[in-house]
Amino acid sequence: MRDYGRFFFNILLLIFFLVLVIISFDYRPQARMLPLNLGLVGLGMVLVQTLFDSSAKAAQKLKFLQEEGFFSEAANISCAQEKNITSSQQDTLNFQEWWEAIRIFAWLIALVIALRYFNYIWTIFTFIFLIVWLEGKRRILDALYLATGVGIFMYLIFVMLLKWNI
Amino acid sequence: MYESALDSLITLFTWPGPLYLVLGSLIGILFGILPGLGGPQVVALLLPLTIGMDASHAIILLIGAMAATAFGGSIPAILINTPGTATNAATCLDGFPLARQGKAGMAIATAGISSALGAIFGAIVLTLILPMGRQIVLAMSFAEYFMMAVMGIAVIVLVSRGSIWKGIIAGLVGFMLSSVGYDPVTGIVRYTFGVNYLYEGVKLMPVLIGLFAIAESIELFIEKGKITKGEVGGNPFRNYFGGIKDGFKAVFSNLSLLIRSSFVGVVIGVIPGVGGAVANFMAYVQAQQTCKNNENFGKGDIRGVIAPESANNSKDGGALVPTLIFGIPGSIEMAVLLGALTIHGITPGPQLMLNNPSLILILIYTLVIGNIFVSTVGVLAAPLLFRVTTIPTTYVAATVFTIAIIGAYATDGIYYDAIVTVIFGIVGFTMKKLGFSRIALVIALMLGQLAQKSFHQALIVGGPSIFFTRPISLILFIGTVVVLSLPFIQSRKKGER
Repeated sequence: MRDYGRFFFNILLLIFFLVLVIISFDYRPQARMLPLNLGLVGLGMVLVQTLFDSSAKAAQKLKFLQEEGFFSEAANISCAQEKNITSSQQDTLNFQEWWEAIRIFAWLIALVIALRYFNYIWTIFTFIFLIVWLEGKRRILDALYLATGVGIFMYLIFVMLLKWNI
Repeated sequence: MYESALDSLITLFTWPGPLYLVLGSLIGILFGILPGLGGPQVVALLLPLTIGMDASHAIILLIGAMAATAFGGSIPAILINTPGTATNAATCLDGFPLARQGKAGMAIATAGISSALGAIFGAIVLTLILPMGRQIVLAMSFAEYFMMAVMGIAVIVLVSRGSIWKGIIAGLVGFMLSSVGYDPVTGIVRYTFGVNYLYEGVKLMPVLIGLFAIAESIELFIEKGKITKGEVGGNPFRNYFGGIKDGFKAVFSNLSLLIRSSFVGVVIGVIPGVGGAVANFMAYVQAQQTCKNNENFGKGDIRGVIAPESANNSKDGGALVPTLIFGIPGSIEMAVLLGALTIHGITPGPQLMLNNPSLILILIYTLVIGNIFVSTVGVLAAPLLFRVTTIPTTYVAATVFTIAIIGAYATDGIYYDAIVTVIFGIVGFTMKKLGFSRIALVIALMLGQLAQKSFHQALIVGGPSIFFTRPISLILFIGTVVVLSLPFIQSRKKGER
């Protein structure tokens, strides 16, 4: 396995297709016709993809999986030039990058949970202040200015102009 | 219909007509810039304000706002690689690399001019086509709708960066997600897991906001530094005026590309249910395939901005054809607009041209003048917008997180929309990093319902053979097979050499 992120995502996709395919047997033939058949196709394709990602031997035999869309070549070149990395490394994230991404996921989940219980203008102010200061490692005053600016903008747009009551 | 032209122009330019046009355009551009909010939201939000207004003034306000979102959406697409609306997704491919090279002013000016000219082209075609539009819409039936949806997904898979195999998987995920909720044919509720929120299906808006705005912002936040990687220069106004001049030059030296792309936009717009998200990519592919010296596409080629921006504005002209003639909306915006027209006592259909021709012409003129006004405002505001690229990515990302999530939440005031937005933000980031096409997922999600409904209706009407006996359906089927097999044939040829 080239990396755990890829393996984990493939497993999630397998579970997604498998669950939907199994559930579709509960529906009438007409209602399940397309989702069942396309779900089976998806399941098979993800299985092949997982096989391709897990073993170098399989990857050698399943070369057609590497066939790329029209703009891949140009995109890969520009991306590799920017980050000075090779094409094969582009689809992977190192542990440090995944760890940073997971931390941001956690911040976003915290924001959504907070929106459930607190006033959204104050939640946004607090979220921006904390994420910019603690996660973005910016100066505390800069974080405060940004949080205040966005808070006022949101108040003007959503409360004053659009009268959205959420 | 054309005898009412002068009356319509007088209505449009008589006070308070111009006020509504300016107001609608400014609100529209704001909604276009905010990722996740676009034409359908702005029309839906302005609709209550138009109740009690004269029908022609209501049309001016709503169409002015709707027309402005397409260009407004190109601004974040160019500056922060986040399309303001789905119709600007292809603009990111070359617009953002241009911004990184310090050419954001030129890209915005080009987008503005292309948008205005595209809209004018769309309006001209609409004016010419309306009297004979009936035949065009009648030529399409369930089999064609199904094949069009399949071809739309196939084209997107082909256009997407990275593995075609993964693109198809992403498309299938999108299709399965489109099966959630009420089945359009049998009425059975599918894959809701007992969650009431899912009864109406997976909503497009939170998915779009999550996959693009949130996922891109996560990447921006991790990246740290500034959006622009190129040298912005000491005097942004000097760059700005140079940018406008270069933008004008670029558009007028590629007029044939602009006309071709606008034509693609109109054709896609005419087909009900397909919409601008497909039109801008189709135009981009067309440009990439037909232009000489195309090796810079995807790396900052100005023609990669001209094509999608002219197509996504001209498509409105096309989308109004089925909307006005048959009351079949050509896109999500048109569906909302259709509701707005009905509320104002205007029933779209063949009788509309006979009974109320001046309203149709007001609509067309507003589309044109609104686009010209918005493009002018956009081009003039470019120095300010240009500065966005020098802001630290941490600030931009944190701001986009909140605006996007609140935008998704506020659209319908449903808390689950915020949850779905974050889930798809995480999924979108992971998909991007692992090389799965997000566009394929979105297009399949959009076209899935149409495909399923049309598939069953076609089977009921003519059995499985109907897909291959109707000429347009057969052509679309062959087109899909060719589109999907092209890369494999090309690579085999390369291998043989």
